[in-house]
Amino acid sequence: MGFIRDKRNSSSSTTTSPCADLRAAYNNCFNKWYSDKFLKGHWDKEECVSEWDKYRDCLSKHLEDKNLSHFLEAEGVKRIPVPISK
Amino acid sequence: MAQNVDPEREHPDQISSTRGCLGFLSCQIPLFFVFSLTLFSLLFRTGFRFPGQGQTQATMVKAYSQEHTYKHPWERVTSASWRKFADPENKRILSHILEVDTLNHNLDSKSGKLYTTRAITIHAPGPWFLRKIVGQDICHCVESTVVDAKTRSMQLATKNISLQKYVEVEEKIRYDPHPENPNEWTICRQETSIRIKPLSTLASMAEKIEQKCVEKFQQNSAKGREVMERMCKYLEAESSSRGISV
Repeated sequence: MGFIRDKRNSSSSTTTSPCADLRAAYNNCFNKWYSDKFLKGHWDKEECVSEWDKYRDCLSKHLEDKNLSHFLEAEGVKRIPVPISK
Repeated sequence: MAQNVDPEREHPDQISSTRGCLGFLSCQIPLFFVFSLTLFSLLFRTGFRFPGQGQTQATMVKAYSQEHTYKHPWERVTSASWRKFADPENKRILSHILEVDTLNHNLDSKSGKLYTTRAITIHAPGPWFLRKIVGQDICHCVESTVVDAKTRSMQLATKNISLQKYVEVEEKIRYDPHPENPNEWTICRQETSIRIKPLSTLASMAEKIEQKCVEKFQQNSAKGREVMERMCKYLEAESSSRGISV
C-alpha cells in the first residue's frame, strides 16, 4: 500500500516563513491594487512588480515541495478553474 | 447546483445546504480517509476479502454544495476573499492554515481578467499512528483563481496535491453579484467533491468516517463564513473612512 513511499515524503513540510516579510509586502501591494485599481477598471497595467520579483525569488529558494515548485515555474500559464454552473 | 453529477460517480451522495459558504478549508479531511484506507490495506494483506473487491477501478465520490448571500457588494466580498488568510485576527480563527503563498499570477490587460495560483499549506493532525504511517500531518493544496472584472465574477478551485493517491478533495467557489440586488449583495456558491481512490470496496467503512469529515467541513465552513463577514465589515468601515467604495 505504499507505506514506504509515504515515509519518504516525510520531509515535504514546506516552510516559506523566511519569505514572510516579502510576502506581506507583496500582499499589501496586491490588495491595494486589486481594490483601488483593478476593480475600478484600471487593469491595463501590472503593478507591484518589484515586490513580486523579490517575493518570488525568495519562494523559489525555499519551496521544498517539488509539486509546488512546478507551479512556480509555470508562471504565465493561465489556469482556468472549471466553472460552477450558475 | 448539485446536478453536476460526475459520470464516474459510483455512489453519489449529495447534501445541499444553504447554511454556509466558506473559503476552502476542506483539506483537513484527507487524513481521515487515509486512516480508513490504512485499515483496509491491512485487511487486504491478511487475506480478508470483501464482496465486490474486483471493482478496483471504481471511485467513491461525495459531493455537496452550499450557497450563502453576503449583504455586501461583489467588489468588497472579493477583496475580503483575497485578504482572509492574511489578517492576524483571521489567522487565529483559521489556525490550521499554516501558509498561503502566491505561486504565480497573470493579468490579461485586454480582457480585464486576473489569474492566480496559490499554495495553501494546512495542518491536519491525526492520531499518532496515522502520522507514523503517512509520515506527515500537513497537506498542500493548490488554489487557482480567475477574476473577471468586466463581468464581475470570481471563481476559485482548490485541490489537494498531497496524499492524492488516497483521496482527492476539490472545492470550487464562485462569487457573483446577487441577481436580486446585484449592486449591494453577493451570492457565493460552493461545491465540494471528495473522491476516494481506487479501493471502492472501502466504501462502506469510509462512509462512516466520511460523515465525520462532512461534520468537520461544516464546522470549518462556519469559520470561513465568519471570517469573510468580519473582513467585509472591516473593509466597509475602512472604505467609509477613506472615501473609497470597496
